[in-house]
Amino acid sequence: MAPSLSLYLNLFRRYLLHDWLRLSLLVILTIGGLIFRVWAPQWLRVYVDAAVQAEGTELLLRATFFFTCCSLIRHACTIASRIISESIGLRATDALRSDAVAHCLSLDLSYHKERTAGEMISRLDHDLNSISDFFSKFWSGILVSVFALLLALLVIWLELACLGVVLAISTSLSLYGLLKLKDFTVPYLVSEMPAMADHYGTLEEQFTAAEALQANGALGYTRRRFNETLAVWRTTHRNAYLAYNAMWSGMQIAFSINTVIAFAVCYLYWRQGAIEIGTAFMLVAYSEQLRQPLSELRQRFSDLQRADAAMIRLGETLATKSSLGDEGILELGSTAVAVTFDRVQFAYSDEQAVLNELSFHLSAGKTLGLLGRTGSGKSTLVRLLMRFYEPQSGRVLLGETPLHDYTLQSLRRSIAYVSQEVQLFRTSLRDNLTFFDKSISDDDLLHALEILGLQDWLTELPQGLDSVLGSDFGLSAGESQLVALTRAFLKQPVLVILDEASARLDPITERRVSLAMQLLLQGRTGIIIAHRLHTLEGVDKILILERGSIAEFGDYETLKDDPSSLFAMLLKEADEGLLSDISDREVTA
Amino acid sequence: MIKTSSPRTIRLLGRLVLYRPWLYLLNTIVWIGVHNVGIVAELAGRGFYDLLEGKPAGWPIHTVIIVSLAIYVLRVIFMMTGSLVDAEHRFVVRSLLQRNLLKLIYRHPAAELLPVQGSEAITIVRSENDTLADTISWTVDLFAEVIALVIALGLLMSIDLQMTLILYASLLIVVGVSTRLENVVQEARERAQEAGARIGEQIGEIFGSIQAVQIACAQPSVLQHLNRLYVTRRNFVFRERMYNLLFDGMFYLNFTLLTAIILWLASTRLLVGAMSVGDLSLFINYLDMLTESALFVGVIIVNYAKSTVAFKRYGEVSGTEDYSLLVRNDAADRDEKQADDRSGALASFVGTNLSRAYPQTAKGIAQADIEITAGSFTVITGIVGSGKTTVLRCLLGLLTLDEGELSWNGQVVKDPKSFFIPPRCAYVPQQPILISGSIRDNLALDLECTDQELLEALATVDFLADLDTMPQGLDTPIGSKGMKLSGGQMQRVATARALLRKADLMVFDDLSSALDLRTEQTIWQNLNKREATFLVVSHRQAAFRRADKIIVLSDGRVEATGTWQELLATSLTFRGLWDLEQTEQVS
Repeated sequence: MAPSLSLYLNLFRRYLLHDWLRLSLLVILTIGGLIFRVWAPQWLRVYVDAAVQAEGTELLLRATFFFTCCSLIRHACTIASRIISESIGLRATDALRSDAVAHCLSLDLSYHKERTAGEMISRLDHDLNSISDFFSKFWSGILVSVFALLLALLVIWLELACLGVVLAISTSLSLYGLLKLKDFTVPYLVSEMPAMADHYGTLEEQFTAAEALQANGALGYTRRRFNETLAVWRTTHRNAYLAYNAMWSGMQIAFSINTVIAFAVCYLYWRQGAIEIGTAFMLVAYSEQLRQPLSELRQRFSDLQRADAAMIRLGETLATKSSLGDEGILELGSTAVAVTFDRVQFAYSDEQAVLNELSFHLSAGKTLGLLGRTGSGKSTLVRLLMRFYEPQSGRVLLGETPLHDYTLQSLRRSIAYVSQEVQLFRTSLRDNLTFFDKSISDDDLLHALEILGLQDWLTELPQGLDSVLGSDFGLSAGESQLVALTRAFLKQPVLVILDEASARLDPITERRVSLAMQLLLQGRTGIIIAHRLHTLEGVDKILILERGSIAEFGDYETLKDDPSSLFAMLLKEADEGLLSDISDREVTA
Repeated sequence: MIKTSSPRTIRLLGRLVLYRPWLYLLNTIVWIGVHNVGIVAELAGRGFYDLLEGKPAGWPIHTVIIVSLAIYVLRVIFMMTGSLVDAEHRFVVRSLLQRNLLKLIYRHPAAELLPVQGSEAITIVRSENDTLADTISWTVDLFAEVIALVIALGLLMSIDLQMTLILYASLLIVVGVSTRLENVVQEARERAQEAGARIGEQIGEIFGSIQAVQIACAQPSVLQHLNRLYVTRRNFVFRERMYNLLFDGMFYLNFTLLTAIILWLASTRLLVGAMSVGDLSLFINYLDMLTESALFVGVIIVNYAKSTVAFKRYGEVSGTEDYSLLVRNDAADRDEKQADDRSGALASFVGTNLSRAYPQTAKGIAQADIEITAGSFTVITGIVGSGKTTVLRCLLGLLTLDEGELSWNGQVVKDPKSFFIPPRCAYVPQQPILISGSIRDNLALDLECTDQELLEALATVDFLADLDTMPQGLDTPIGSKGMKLSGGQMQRVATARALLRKADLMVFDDLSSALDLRTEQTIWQNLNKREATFLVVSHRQAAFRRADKIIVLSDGRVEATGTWQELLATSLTFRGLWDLEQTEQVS
């Protein structure tokens, strides 16, 4: 269950070690602090003995002065070292965060489909907060505490060997117990985080789906789901809280035992006349110096428990490999390429085959109209073409080359894909168009918008390209599609895929956009998925899919004119379907 | 950030405390124990030194040892009980707040954008929920610490009045300065949290649109964007931590200087025998303990201000400024009456003079009159941005009206939001919104229905063939937000969900956009068999031809109303919409 030590060492090497300058400063300050820490109680002994033996105020005042100086220097060192460790830790955590995000960004869709956005936020941001403590406090905390313990025990041992030995034994036992306790409690702490993530994930979904859930009267359902996830979280939270405080309690026992031991041993030696009351006072003070490092160790181990839990989840995340290798080395050129499916077989995990031995060839520069009922495999075909998934058998080729011989980057960069679902960010229009890519100039953007005839629309926006979607202005579904089309125009694709790109547009807007689409398709290979047959006008080839197999494939003109073809029948049906609709209606009315 | 009226924090916190008073009382008693046993433990120390110094007040050694051990055992018992009770009480507070929040969000017109939404809202809920639970839980500690401070005051005064007064004066300074620092710390923390919420929101959006990001090959630029946000947050977090260190530094300084003063003042008293070494140890040890108590009191005071912010931010998330709703006892719900409960089955549904402007843009709808009679089929059409969806949302109470009135069977609907739900009305939004869970979960939600009914609804939307390809059938999980389904499948599941509700009025916002012609026709034919009133947004001829009435919108106003034959003759816009499809059919 616990993440391996090597994972921690790896993190340490990778994210902390390069900051060696600050690390060494940290070490120097720490050692300085420790020395003054063990020095201070010596002056307490001087003070108490002088007071009891009535040696006059001068010695008492001198002892007070030196004691105070030791304390001040020690605390100054502590504060300084903490400033440094915070700054090291925060940087390291962000570097780790950035790497984790980069990793997840590269994972394929089969990973993301399983996870809500809320869960990703938990995994990539909240979890890492506990690892942040690991970076900023853990290493320094553990090392300093161990040194502080050893130093205090050494001084005690030099003063009163017997007490030193007994306290060393009891401290070791306490530490051992705490480590055992930690192993026992980790599972409880681990179990809280996914329960909490699940709860907030559900809550977020309920916020987002409010329009649909509310209008369908699903308040009861919402309440029930809420109570369910909350109940799970509540149980795991209680267990985690108890586990955490069990550590604290263990600590209290350890403290009390050390102090009691110091009382008892000092009493015995004092009765024999071996030590003065001042020495007893000092030794009890030293035995209490064991508290803070022990407490610090407990705190660090508790952090570690949390970090462990986060670590396990981070380990999981980082261990997830994209099922798509990216071993290709070829780059796609800038000229149109042919598309070939060669006996492609594909199924999503445990389901039935979505594509069945699919084979077809589309020459470079030609456009293909892809038809089929929903669920016939059109979208899957497109996803395979963009390598979101790998076929179980068979090959997909661009030009003469199988997809996996190209780099993923070059492949996706060379394909423009516009779908019916447009995903927008609550940020400026510019960032929505460029996906935060600062290298795309405003001129390029304006040019693309102009091609789509959107310059008027742009001038109406309150802040132009800087308008923030959602707060400065909202987009209708149709307008979002125009944004998606603009994105496509910013690329220099060799293959254009339009997946119901104009489905949400009304006919008038669609006419405006279709001109732009023609422009986009010019000189490029194109695949157009459409329900409305008119959208396919002017394509070179028609492919009709049915349950993952080709029902028909041929030239547009040939199929249209062949009355026995499926395509011709579809065209006819479109007309007749309307007529039959009317007659139905008239009969019922 | 939007300026809102200030919440009356004390009153709100009071209601949270009184929500489960006995649990709170138990929690208080236990934690008084936790914070006060330490006081007795230090007395054992004094007893020990007095013994060594040979003073009559000295305790026998076995008493010292037994008392010390007993105190710690007691403390552990208090602590474990305390954590159990506290965990329970925190959760009671937490769940009340979240339940009320959810209730408020569902009471808010859903299409009306709240100031914060989605992941950002969740990030706020997460952190503010903790803040408020902490605040409530810490009021318990506050009582306990104050009691400890008073007991210690009594004990120390019996030793030396002057030294005690100096010690307590310094504690007052500690609390004073630490609460003064409150504002700066508070500000830094808020900025850090805002930056954190922004990051949460962006991560949510990025991974919510991961497919688009990957297609755009935008991983590097997206990462850069996040890295910039990380730096912003890091600077604020660092600043906050520095203030906290300043706090600690002050604590150390105060502690050290006071120890010096105590040692200095004690020196003369020790020499003349007015004070024992045991008394000195009591002073020094209490100093440590009490400074921490005082600091904690400071933290609690600071946290109190945080909870004001927490209520404010909660208010933003839930879209209310009536903060008392956030802490309302569940029992109050039962008294709430449904205002519009009297009306029966749909005879007529009229919206008069419906107006709604979006403040940021020129868009919206104005003075729209819509009338729907039972059993009719009404189509709303118009070009992109003409206000079709807005009209639907206004009719269903998903948006608030600036002006206008809705009436159902001649009676004015006062709270459309809670009125237009099944069995009166069911709605399929343009972008179908599904939730993670199985197909069954998505269809039924909380409706009691048999598999037979579910399959029937799915048959109506032509989904059975799709269902056959899913080995788990109705129990097939559809992934986060239904992502495992295709766009058309999501649209049909959402439609089936509405159909299952067997509502009088079925409202579809552009059903056709994600469906192919054949599937769409099948659905229309199946729907024809159902007895219901339909209100749909569409620009398909199939819909026009079927409609009893078509409403053409242009720039948010009703431009024309009529059947398709009438409109072809009278409306230019309509002819534009019609002709286009005409040419496509001919080709």
